[in-house]
Amino acid sequence: MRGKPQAFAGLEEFVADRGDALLATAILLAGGRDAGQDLLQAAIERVMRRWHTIDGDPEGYVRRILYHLAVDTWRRRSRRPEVLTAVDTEAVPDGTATLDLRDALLRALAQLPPKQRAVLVLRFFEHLTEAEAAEQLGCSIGTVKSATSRGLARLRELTNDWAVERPRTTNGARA
Amino acid sequence: MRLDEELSVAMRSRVAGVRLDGAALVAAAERAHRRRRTARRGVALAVGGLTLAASVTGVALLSGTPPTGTPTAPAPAEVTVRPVGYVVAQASDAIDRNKSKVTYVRTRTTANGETRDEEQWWDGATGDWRRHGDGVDALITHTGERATFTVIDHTTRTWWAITYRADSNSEGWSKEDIQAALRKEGAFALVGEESLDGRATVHLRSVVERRGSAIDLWVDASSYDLVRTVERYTPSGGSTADVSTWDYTFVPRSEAELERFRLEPPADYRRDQSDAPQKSGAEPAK
Repeated sequence: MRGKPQAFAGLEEFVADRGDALLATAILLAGGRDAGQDLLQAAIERVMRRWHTIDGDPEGYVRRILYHLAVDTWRRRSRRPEVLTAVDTEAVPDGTATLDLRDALLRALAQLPPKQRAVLVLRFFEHLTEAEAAEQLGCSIGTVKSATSRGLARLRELTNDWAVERPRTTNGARA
Repeated sequence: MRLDEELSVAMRSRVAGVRLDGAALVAAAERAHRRRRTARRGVALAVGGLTLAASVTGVALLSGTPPTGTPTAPAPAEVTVRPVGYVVAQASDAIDRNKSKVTYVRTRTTANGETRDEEQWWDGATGDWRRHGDGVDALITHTGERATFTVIDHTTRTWWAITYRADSNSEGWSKEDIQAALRKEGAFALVGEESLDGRATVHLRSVVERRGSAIDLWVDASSYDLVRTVERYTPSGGSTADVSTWDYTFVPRSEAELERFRLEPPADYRRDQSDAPQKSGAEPAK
């Protein structure tokens, strides 16, 4: 019988402690709860390969893998056809225009190219600076700037479309 | 409120209260880790073949003509002083002699504090390969220019199979393999004659490391058949070495041995192609 390999000692505790926060980021990067959980699992599996060599707090390492998987490998290796699935809607009630706009923004975010989506998550959810986001993604600050600009512009376009369509739906979701 | 601020609030509210079943996720990641490791190891072994063994032959070519003996005859037992060039040449010839046999290898790998035992077989005539251990059975067979790679994971009761264009490197111990090893592996030094589990052997050690990996190798003192290789690999940044020990036995191609190269997934196992390697030109096997 195999027990818990000594090589992964502490991993479960780390995930228990930081898993909720990591999952939150993964959901936003992947566009939905299930896809986010799959993405996080893939990142943890990747971390296992080097777990015994990681010194200190592993969260930065895990997050970096998460971002890179979201932008590159994840799209190619995912069992799911794409991460462009609409975000889950259970947490978004009907009602005010503000809530409809936020719902539309999340739907639009899920439709952005992975890199633009990752940049927006890093900048406006993780609140990293442009330089920090560039370091995490392994790209230039200029790339972060342009991806941010294009991503926000695209969100504006998409949410305008939805704003026009909104009256046709009950909670902002497309029929 | 600006769009980026709305987005920030939207993202926060979207994931507020999200809870993760960490234990389940780690367990699933661990299963995936084991399956991928198995698949990678399978492909690497199948493509690489007995690279370690071939590397010895490479040294033989580097070292020039052996000083005594014929290419196919074992050295006389009374030879007690054996120049390294002579030993590696004889070991090279022994590999050639055993080329058409079934090679059985018991491996023990210690990595990351975990020890894993496996058994592997190569059919020297066809290049077919079989592996058993760690809850996984794997098989690579060849038909024409295509290879079929089947993996049965007993821990998850799943299996997958792909076909792909067989790499020439997977077809056994070609001279090209030997020459590639010659260029890559460098030379061996003679450590001495040693008794290994009661068997008289000659011990060789790689002079140079290759990507942090050092190799020790033992050949039979009379036949020069490969007996054991031990590879020590220290991952970049790691403090402990991964140690892999391979014990070799060469057996004739009997019906019983060839039966090992037939593998059928149990009827109640589920096919799951998602764990198959994404290899260019690969497609699910029928």
